[in-house]
Amino acid sequence: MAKKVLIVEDNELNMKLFHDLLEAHGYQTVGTRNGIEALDLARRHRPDLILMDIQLPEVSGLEVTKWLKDDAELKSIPVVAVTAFAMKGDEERIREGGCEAYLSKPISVGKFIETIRHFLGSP
Amino acid sequence: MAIVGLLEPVRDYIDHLVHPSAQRDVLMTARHRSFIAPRLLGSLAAIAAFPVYLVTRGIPGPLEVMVFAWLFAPILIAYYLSRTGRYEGAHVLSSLALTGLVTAVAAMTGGIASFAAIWLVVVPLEAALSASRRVVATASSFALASAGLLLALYWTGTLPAFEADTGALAALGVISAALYATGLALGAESLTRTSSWLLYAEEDRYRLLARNMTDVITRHGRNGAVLFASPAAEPLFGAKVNELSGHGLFDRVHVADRPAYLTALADAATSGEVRSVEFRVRRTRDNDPPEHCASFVWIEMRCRPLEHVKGQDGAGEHEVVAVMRDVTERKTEQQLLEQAQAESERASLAKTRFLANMSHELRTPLNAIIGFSEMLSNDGSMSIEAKRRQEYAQLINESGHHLLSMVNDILDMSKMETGDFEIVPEPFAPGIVIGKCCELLALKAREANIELSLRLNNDLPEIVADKRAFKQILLNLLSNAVKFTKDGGCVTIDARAEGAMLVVSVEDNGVGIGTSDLPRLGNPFFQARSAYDRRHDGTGLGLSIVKGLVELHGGEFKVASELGSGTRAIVRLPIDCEATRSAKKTPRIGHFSASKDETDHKASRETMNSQVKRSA
Repeated sequence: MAKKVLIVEDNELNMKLFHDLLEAHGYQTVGTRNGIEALDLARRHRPDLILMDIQLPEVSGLEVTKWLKDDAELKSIPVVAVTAFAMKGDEERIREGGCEAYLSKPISVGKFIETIRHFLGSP
Repeated sequence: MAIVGLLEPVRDYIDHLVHPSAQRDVLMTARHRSFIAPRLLGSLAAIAAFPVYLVTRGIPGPLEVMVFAWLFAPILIAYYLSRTGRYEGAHVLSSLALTGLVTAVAAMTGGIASFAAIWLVVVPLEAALSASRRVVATASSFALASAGLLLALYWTGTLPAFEADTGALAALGVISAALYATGLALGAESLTRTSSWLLYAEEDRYRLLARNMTDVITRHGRNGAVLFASPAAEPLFGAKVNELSGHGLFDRVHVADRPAYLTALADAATSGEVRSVEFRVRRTRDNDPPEHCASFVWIEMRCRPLEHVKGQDGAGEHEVVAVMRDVTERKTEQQLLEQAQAESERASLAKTRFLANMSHELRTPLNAIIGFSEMLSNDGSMSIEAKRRQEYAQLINESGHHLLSMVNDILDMSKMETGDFEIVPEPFAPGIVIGKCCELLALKAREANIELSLRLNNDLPEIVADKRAFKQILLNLLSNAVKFTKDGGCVTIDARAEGAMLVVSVEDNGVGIGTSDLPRLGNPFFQARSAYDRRHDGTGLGLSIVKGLVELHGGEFKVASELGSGTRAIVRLPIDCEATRSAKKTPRIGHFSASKDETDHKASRETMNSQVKRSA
């Protein structure tokens, strides 16, 4: 069975990009642009990996990550932050927030796939 | 004149004889001089008279020789004082010499009944000039001892017989003693005059200093009450010195600074160390009405416990002497400096935030551009179908346009900041432009399920303005309204003419803006609640561009809002902006200057509040 990735991303174009890239590499995806919904989706779909944008409407990706990591059933799911916060100190702050990996936007497709494979292996 | 000319070198010589230790004090110098001069001159005069005496009286008897020989003693004593500077010692020696001479002469001329015995009275008188009780006591005991000795010798009858014209000799004794005593009295008077002159001169000097000093000197009692204030206090505090005494000064100290003021005085009194404090004092000016217009001056006060002169009672050991100085100017400069620093820090923070925002906003579309283009170029490995490739190209193009519009916004903003933004006014019908802008946003509004309603008065006049700028103002306001309104909300555009102004308002029932954020709206790169959980994308440049463009037209831009219930943006543009602009020179727009916003802050907030009420 194909591995499932939950994409939390509020920008439509970037959502499409990640969706298409993952699909092209044989992964299944679930997407939401809302952090609160992300938690429900994670419970319902039990994804193997979560791609987390940090700047989101209503609640930040960091807040959602904290909820995920506080949840006994969901905390084992690796969270990869994919964010346009790429200023000095952002990576440290985001990793300290509980994300297992950090990718800055704009992404390099090669590095992106490599990171996904690191967590999920080849589909 | 000739006498003065003659006396000059003599005085110089005598001044020269005064011991260096006495030369520092004017009064001591006078004392030494008045000790040395008569002894030296008198003795020399007497010695000079000796030959005359010899000629008139013939061969002198042993008594006369002894008296003349004794006249050398004052010279020696004067020399002793000149060399050692021991004033009291010299006086004692002088008293001893005089007593010895009088005793010897009296013993030879009839004992206690001798014409010379009256001179014993002179001994303590002379000692009085020393201004020392010890010397006077010593001299008196010499005189009394001498009188006792003469009396004893008289009774025991061991004195040689003396036969002479006792009447004439008694007269000689009394007259000479009286003359000598007169000389002493004159000396004493001269010394008193010198000392009181010195006292006055010193007092005058201090008074002159106190009057001409801008610093105020005060003396405080143990509870901080003012016991004395120098005259400089009057111009400094605008109050009479007697109004400041007691608690008069304390009552003028700014309430907030009173603890510091009292603490400094108390610390100085108890610790015995110098204390420094800065506080504000109310200054009343003559032409000020007493109840208002009180201005405060900043005072720097340095205070220390008063050192009392020896011999005064110890009750004053808690008194404090203070020097006060007006430091208002320095304080004002300091405050201005701090303000400027805070402003520059705020500006620098705004720039840092702008950069972080900018970086984020540029990276988001760049991610799509780079990501999709990489997918297209790696076509081989992913085998993308033709329809999708076209879609990706379209998305890349869209993102590129988004980036371009952002770059244009930044350039426009920067031009407005530097005052280089030119508007090109032309006549046009505003209704048509407003309608077109609504059409442009209609799709987006429909997607978000927002009702867009347009209320245009039919009689809208043609306006003269920069058409492109007008369009941009409306698009920015409309897209903001749509962006910040929730699903199912509504956005209303209303335009009407009010006198010489066109008033366009864009109202929504969206998230609204908090009162604390309202005054900062329109500052570049400011977006209310900016953090990781920012609700909406955008650089925060939209409203500052609107504000800048409206100001360039000589118009007004206001935002009224309430958190949770919606926002109303009102643009007032002159119907003929060229006429308005030539009437009053449009000010350059300085958005980075926080001070301008600060001053506008209060007034604009009040207007906003009233508008919020009206719109609610």
